Amino acid sequence: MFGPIYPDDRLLRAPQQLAAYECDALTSFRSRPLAVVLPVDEAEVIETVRVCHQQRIPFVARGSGTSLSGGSLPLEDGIVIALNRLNRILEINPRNRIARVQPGVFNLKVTAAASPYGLYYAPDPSSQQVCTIGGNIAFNSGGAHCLKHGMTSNHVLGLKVVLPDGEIAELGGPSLEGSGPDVTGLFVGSEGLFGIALEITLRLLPKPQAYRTVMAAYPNLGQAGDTVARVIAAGLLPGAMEIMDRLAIKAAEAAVGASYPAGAGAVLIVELDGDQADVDSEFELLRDVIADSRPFEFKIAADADERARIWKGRKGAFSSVGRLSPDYVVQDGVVPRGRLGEALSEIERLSSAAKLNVANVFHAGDGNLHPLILFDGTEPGALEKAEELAGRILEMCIRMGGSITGEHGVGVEKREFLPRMFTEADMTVFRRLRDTIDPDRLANRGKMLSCEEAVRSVAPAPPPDDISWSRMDATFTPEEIRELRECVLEQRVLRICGAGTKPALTASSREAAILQTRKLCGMIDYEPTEFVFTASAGTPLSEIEKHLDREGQFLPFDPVLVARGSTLGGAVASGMAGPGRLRYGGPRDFVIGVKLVTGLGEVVSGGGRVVKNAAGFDLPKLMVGSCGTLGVLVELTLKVFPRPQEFRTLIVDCRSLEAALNTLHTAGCSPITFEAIDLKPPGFLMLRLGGRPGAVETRTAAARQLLGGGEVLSEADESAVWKEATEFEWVPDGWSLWKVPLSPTLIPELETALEGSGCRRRYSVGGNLGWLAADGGTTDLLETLSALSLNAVPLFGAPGPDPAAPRRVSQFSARIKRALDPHGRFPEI
Amino acid sequence: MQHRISVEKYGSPGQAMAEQIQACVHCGFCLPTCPTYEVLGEEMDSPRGRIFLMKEVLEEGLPLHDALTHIDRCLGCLACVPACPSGVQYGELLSLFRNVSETGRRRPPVDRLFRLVTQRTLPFPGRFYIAAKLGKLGAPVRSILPRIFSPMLELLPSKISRPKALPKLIRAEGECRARVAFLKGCVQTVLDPEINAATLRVLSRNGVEIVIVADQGCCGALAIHTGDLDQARSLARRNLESFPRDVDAIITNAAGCGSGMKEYPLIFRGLPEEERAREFAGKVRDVTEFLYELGLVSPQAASRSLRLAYHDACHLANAQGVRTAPRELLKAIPNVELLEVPDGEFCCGSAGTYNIEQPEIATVLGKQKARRILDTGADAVAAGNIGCLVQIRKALDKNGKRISVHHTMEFLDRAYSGRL
Repeated sequence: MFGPIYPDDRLLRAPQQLAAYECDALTSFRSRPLAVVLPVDEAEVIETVRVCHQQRIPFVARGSGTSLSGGSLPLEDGIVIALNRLNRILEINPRNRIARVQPGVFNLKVTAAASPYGLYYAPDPSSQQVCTIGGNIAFNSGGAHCLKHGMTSNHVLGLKVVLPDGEIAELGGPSLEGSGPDVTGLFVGSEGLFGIALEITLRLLPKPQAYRTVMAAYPNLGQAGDTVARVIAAGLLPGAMEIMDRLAIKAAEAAVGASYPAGAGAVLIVELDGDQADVDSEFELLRDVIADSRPFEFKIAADADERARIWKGRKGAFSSVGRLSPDYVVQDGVVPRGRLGEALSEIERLSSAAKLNVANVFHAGDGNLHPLILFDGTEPGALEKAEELAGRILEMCIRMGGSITGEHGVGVEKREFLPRMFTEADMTVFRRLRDTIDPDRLANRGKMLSCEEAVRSVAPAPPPDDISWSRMDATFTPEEIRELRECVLEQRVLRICGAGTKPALTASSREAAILQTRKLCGMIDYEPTEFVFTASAGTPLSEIEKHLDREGQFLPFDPVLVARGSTLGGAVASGMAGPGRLRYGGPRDFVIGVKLVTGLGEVVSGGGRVVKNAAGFDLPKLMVGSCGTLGVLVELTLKVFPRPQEFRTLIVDCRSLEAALNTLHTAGCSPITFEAIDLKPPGFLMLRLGGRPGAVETRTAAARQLLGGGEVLSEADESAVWKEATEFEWVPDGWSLWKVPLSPTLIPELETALEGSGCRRRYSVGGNLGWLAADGGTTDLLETLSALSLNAVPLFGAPGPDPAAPRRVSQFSARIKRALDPHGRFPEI
Repeated sequence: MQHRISVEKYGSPGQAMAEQIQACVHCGFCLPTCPTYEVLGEEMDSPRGRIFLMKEVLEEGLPLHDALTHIDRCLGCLACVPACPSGVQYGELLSLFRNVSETGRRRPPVDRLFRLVTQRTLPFPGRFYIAAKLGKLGAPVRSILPRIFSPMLELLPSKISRPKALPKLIRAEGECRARVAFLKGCVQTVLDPEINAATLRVLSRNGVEIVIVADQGCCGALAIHTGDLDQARSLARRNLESFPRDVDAIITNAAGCGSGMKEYPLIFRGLPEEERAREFAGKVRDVTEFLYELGLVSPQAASRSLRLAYHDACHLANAQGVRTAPRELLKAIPNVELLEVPDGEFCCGSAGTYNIEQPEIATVLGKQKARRILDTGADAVAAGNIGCLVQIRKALDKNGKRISVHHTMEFLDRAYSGRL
């Protein structure tokens, strides 16, 4: 069947060949596939998937087989598509700070390739030297440095994928900014159920200039856990905060000899990273906090070698446990950071009740636990006992408001626990998404969702047209979810809006009733120590900022139009962000939980309330940029960060576009941390720096030296520069405004095309976003953009017959729309 | 990893193999370090995959014959060992498994002849000299020999030396700082006798008195690594008996021999010789390891600045963990800039008799190594193993590059005599 595609040496069918593919790093699940194919290029993968689709053969895509949740477990009646030979780095583009890679590339190879340009790929799973980018995408892998830098999905910009029926879809693109629902975000972490990523565009960051890695030893886990809370309470956001307990230290020490303090009940590793100014000032604070926590030993890594050894011990900790016990299962649950201590005591209680040893290694900063349950598989019933304990630990995580998986994914191993974390309605929508994309359930069948239900989850038939619908021009302003649901079910066509600050976004050519969310309003829950809040979608951003400001925190994605009354729901649904998005990311990088009403009136939740969470499909990201086309946002949970205490802005007039773009590149690849870099063409650059007092001055001086001077603004003058940007004060009343996702290297071409057009421009987010303002007719402008294959999203301007530029909607997005809004109540994507 | 190996069936090696298999957690950290995985990209040609196949064979779930292709492709470079967090002693497992598999294996006649030739000549300098000479003479009629022999013939250098007798004792120059026994080695004495000469001069220059016992023999490493445990034991016994006990160290300048002799306790596990083997192995030092511990007498500066790439021999770096010592010794020569070879942890493809048994993979690895070395812009290459030197020279030659490739001791020797 696959003979026509593969020569004999790349179509494995012999038992000795297949045996080696029986399992991944979760060895208690094994299954020998029918065949393993080793494609060498994209075309072979696509052809294979097409044959599988025609013949209804289930397939499992496999990278290095390092999944700890059985994510690449083969099926006896299916094939394995081993992607190890698609291991080329196709492009490193330092000017746009992106890498384009094939799925079989080792994670660490991306950093190695980016390194000559002063850049790196941030996500660092412990197996980073061997795990592949394709696997990282499927399971939204994390790592020790997620706390500050985010998970895989925060660093994937674009994907070319083959869907389970062999269709090709292009999701996202090379820009940090996107348009339309964030389907890239949905694909990442979908555990292979939506198909295979063939080509991946990754975001690269400037390598941190400095690290400071410290180890503090405590007699017990509780004290180490408390210190984590103190570090956070002091307003610090370290790159990583890790804890290992006595057993884990013993194993890691045997493996690496990392000189972890002897006799410690727990070791806390904290790493600060960033530019020198930042790390120095944060270190002073960190040292004081740790000193107050009374560790019995405190060590600072003296050099890069010592730092490497500390991390080698930590990153190899899981496997080192193989030295202590013949078998183990590792869990990956997450609890709110503040409940870490409680969770650890509970694990201790549960494990002693089960008479099993548990070694703990975890990402303390994220509340992501990794209890390693040790057992001897040769003892009858031992595995079952260990699994039972694992189950109890997962139940505890759910009870505490956490997640069953932070970074390993659900896989086969935690499948039965997913329905305990989500409601039946949520699960129905998950299944419907899967069945709409892959009706035959061929792609990685049996992972995340079980395949036992014989009936496909398809959308019910649309309501008959003879129902007397309410008036099409009616406006509804529901005050609670029940009312909102009824409103959705009673209308044929609905447009959703918040405060209406971006009117062109919700304009529609179809006559439609309007649903306003502004009465679904208010902060629901805010835990400053967790860096997380939940609020109703209609809550004005200004109100949220007031809450956060009191705690010294802020919305790092730098929302726009706050002064004009923009709502949280509007910010997320539009996916719009201001210049500050450069440093930490956009709304997509901060929305961690969502409650929405689908086009079928279902109330559905996705994500959760913990900062790290890989359970279920990433609905929170999908809703970013969806502009009311997929559902009505009801509640949103976001993570936040400590606010920089002071800002400076450096104004550099480079006089020409070319000089300005060169300066932008220099700044962008430098280790100096910039909060924002905006350009007013041709050559006027505005660069924002933030940090603690003292550090911000050092950093500004370093930036001036790097860029060869520039005027420094502070306080009111400084903030005015950025308020002008986020409130679009530079756009005259009555003009249209368009958002255009870009790459820095596209700016010269666009500038040439727009010469003499009378349109005003501002380039934001380090050249990843263009704002174009025009007076009156915009047809010419749209034609220009379309000729350059650029998308444009309108914010202001009279809604025309078709305000959105004709946009190619991928097969993937179209099917997602069909799963969430099958009757087309909401506008087209 | 759980297994169902019936330990009793294989005796004490069975227990040892089961322990190593059990220690593997299948995490995959070994994959990126494995040269054959790099070249072939297949799970069954990775350390983790091979461990899984060995387990299947020992559990009798897979016929031995089926698994052997992949086991045979293993270089035994042991790059996976330092990479393994759970501490699997892969080398130990592989040697024991090869021993089990050799007993149950049926080889085709040409294959058997080939193994007979290698196993009965390489460890014996006299026989090997004759064989090599014959090989040279036979070069014109190479085409009529079975193809399996041609990679071996290709590796023979242009000049082949008759093994020379070495003195029984070499005095230390100046004050005597240590007394050692020296393993002459086999292949090296025929292919490149200058290495031993240089080593002995460097040791003596460093105040070391050297005893060279006449009736020493092959270290047995080749037999250990090809699974011929009986031959390995008999060769090892000879050394256990002939080497003096009243020395500070037993010195070798060949990485493979050092790692082989350090494995003596393993091959005599549970046997009467075990204790003597342990004592012997405890004294075995690679010459660089020994000199670094002793403290090197400062060499003279190189006459012009020399960009020298150091190549880690697998059996020095991975099997014995000797990485720092040779580098520090070479760095001690003024005017030498020591360069690191990118992806240096990858084997050059020599690996004992690998380059004559698996020439295709060995050639790919040799090419890769040559390219990486050339990338450094080095003027010369140093390494601590004869096999690597021959393999790297051949790969660089094929690249058309004439870079001198010598043993670490040869560079030091030249520095001492002002010839570098």
